[in-house]
Amino acid sequence: MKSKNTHAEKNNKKSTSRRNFLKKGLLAGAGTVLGAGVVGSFDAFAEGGDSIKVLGPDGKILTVDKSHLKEIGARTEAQMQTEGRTGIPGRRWIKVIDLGKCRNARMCVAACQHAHQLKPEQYHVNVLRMDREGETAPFFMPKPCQHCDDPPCTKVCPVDATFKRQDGLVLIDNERCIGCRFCIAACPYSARIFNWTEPRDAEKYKDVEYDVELNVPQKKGTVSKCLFSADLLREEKMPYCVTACPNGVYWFGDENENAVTNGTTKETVNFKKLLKDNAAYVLLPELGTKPRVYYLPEKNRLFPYKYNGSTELKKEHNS
Amino acid sequence: MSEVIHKDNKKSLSKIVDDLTKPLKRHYGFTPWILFLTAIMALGIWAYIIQIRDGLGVTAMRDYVSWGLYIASFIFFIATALIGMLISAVLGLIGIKWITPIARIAEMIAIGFAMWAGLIIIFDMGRPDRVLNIFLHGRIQSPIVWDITVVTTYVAISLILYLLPLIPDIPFLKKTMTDQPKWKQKIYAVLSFGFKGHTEQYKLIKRLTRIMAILIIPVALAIHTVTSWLFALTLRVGWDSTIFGPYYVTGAFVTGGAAVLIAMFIFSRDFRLKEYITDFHFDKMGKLLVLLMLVYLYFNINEYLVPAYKMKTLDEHHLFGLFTGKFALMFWTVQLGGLIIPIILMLFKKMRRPTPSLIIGIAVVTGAFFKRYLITIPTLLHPHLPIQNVPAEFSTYWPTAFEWSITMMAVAGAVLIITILAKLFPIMPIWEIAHEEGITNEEINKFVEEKNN
Amino acid sequence: MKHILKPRKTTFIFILLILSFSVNAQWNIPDYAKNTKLPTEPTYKLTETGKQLFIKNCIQCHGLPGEGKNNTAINAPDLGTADYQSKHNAGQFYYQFNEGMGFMPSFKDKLNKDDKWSITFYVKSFDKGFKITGEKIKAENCVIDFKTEDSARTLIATANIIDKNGISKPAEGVEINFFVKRIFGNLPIGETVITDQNGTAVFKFPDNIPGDENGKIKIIAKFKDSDAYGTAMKSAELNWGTHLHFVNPVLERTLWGPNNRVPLWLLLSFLIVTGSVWLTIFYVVFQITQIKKAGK
Repeated sequence: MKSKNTHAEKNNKKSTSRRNFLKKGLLAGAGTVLGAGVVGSFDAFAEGGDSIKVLGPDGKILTVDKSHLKEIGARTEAQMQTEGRTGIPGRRWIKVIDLGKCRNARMCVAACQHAHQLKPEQYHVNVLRMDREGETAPFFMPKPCQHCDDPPCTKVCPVDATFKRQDGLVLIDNERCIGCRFCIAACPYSARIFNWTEPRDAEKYKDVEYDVELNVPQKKGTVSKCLFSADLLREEKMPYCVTACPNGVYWFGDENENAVTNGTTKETVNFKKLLKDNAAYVLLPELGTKPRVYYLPEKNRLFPYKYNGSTELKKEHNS
Repeated sequence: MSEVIHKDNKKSLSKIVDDLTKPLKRHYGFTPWILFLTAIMALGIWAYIIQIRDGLGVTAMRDYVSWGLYIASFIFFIATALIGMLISAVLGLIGIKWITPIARIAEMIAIGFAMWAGLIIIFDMGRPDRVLNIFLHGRIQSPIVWDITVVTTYVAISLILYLLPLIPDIPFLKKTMTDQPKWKQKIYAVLSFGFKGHTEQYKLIKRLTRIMAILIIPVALAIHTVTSWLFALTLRVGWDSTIFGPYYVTGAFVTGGAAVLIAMFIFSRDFRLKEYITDFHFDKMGKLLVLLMLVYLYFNINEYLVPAYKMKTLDEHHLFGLFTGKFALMFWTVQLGGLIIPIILMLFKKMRRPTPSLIIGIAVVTGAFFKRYLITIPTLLHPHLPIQNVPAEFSTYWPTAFEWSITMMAVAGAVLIITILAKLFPIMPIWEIAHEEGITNEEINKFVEEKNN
Repeated sequence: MKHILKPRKTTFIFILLILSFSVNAQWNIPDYAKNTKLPTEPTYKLTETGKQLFIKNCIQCHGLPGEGKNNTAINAPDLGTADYQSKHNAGQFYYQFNEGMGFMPSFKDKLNKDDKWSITFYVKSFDKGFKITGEKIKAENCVIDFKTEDSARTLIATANIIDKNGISKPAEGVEINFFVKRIFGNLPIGETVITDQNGTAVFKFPDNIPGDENGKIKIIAKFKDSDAYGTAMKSAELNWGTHLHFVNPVLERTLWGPNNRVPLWLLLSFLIVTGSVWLTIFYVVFQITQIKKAGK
């Protein structure tokens, strides 16, 4: 543990280009010709005897020759740690969720669980059935981590395992987390989950190098949470949930650019205007957490509320 | 302040020494007792090994109730440990005399439970192998770091406060325990710190004890206040309370006070020290417990009545769960059986006699344990946003056999520490009791040297 | 009574049958729908408007016509297939789309009549037999360009059509949109401008568009009607954006920050309190070792 981190500190920015080529060339699995130092294509790696597994696109595991990867591989994980903690300079990621569009298709949930090696009952993003008091109509509410600007979870972490980055993301380092679960207790949005047992397909991911921006491989006995798909953002792609949505619920973008793009229609709009025109709000503002996720109220709905054949919301309080 | 201790029949120094050192040699029933404790601990160790292998999934904790029996036990242990400070420091400093035979028992309870409280936190960790991260990457902003700091400090001060008044007792042990194994005598030799019964030495020890007794007061208050902050500093209904600090501290005194009553009963009977821990002491301790319970009751009324009067939506779910919902049986049993009925009973002098005191003490301690459970779990079942799309087990909690085994290991472990201390050193300060009996330092020194020959 | 009951029961069952059929996405399109008169002549301009509206409202379930990205789980058809087109003329499509059924929501009150017809024309444009009028300029023959006037932050766009002989002539009445490049897409800015007889249009650049630290910004010009004029675009990097003043919040001393960013008040309190307590402890421990000395 310790050696990895000190290693990470030594290998800071100077190998950025190296990492990029590795990511594009290897992790993306494109089989392209790699840069200087390593000659040959993807196939050439696979011919070797000793092989190592790397994470490909869509969570597929690719096998690559170890002798070629060893040195660079170690750097990559170290680098993922440093870069993962620093964040992407100049960005302030923001998400807008249009409740009028959600019909509980749960494609976001599926895409997220697939990418982050989660079990079916583990949610980085969960779609909740909500209503307000009195005679108000029920609606579906996707609930990711709110990536608060005053995060109550990172406040309480004893070991700096969960942290906030300059681009607004709240991440967790599964290589450092001691599993005290104080952050779970502190989060008012119940956005955090814990690996109570071995994670899904632990055997398959055993040799995959840990990426702090993806929380993969998941580690038993540590906390995991929504990361706004920090690994994709680094490649200038929108998060898994955002692009998986078939109903145009999610808008994602950079607050500094004052623009958000819809994951379904790819339409880009003025962020502040979108909030203003639709009377956007944040969840539990009274708690002072300053969320980075905005909600557009559930009006002008394209799909009527219906869950398990009922158009009413059944109260599920467990008092 | 000047408590008149009944000194009708003065005890001679040789009798005192004899009475207090005999239990250290008399091992009747000792081996079965140790075997019993070891068996419980072995079961706990086995459960813990399984927990390490399979993950915390062997507990009933899940993503919503992510803190369970371990954390509840942790608060209970910290609470029990707090009594050491109240009895030996606060009462000692204001000059109350009847605590002399009880102070060391309270210190022993403090050491045993505080040490195991630290271990329970490790049992609760998902990755105990990374415990050093707290020192490598510790964040001073985190209440857990405060808690670790303050628990460590409290254990250190409690140990010193236990050892300091022990030093003048060592000469007695050195002389009377000559028939005991070598390793015991080595321990006594080390712990004597060259004490020879010199007046200057007595003075120094008294001075150092006084410093530690003063120092332990803020540290002890901090230990339980910080523990309460682990909850109160979150944005959770039922925990988000400004009176949590004093609420926990007074609750802790109640728990520890009752634990001392139990220990007093056991030691006075098993160690045949009825002459030292008399009905008078039970009566005094019972009165003190009533006072502490009344203060705790006052905080309970504040903690439940104030939100219940306002009935904010989330408070409503939480409080009705306690008052009439699925926690109602436990809640009312704890509040009535562990607090209100003991208060009423202990107002009567008859009920402050040893045997009733023992029963009430057990009721109060058991109640206190489940009170911690009621503070920890129901809140976690009432998050701000609904619990949905998860298996049914996520929205309920009852500890598994693994959790009970590990918790019982901690209890057995704390009792084991107390047992070992009680078997190594006298459970009361011989020299202080001798002083109270009017025996002078010269007489003591003479006695020690006589024996030496 | 008994005599009356019986036929009622049969009617009830009959209604149930119809209902269950309709739930199985059996569209009941009345015959009159087939003969609906088109309110206007379908033009390429309208189909382009329809396409934009389609992308906003329909693409979630149906995908773009002919691309096969429709959601089969809810029986949403690909509207571009020959099979679908042959079974639905414009009137029938309009009816379905207006009324809604099952998973298909009704657009009766969601869109106005013109918009709904635009979408209808766009969908029907995938039917080879559907006649669309109006001028359709070959896409590859259209070029777009713009000059900048820094002093007034003005963009002067020009659109030209290149004819068969390779001669360029100004395109009049062409709608041009401007965008700025954002991380995940192009953000439309300002109003659409229309070229005059010289093929030029003037666009005043807004002064509140965020750029990078140097105010740098990538501006893109495109034809609004890309079906008619093609996807030709012109982009340029200018420093007309507002400057980004990025303050890294993680560098501040906060309660939520990393361990090397502890608020000073907390750090000092922690160190002073624990320090003084432990100094006292060490003092006492040291004094214990002095007990022997005191005895001499």
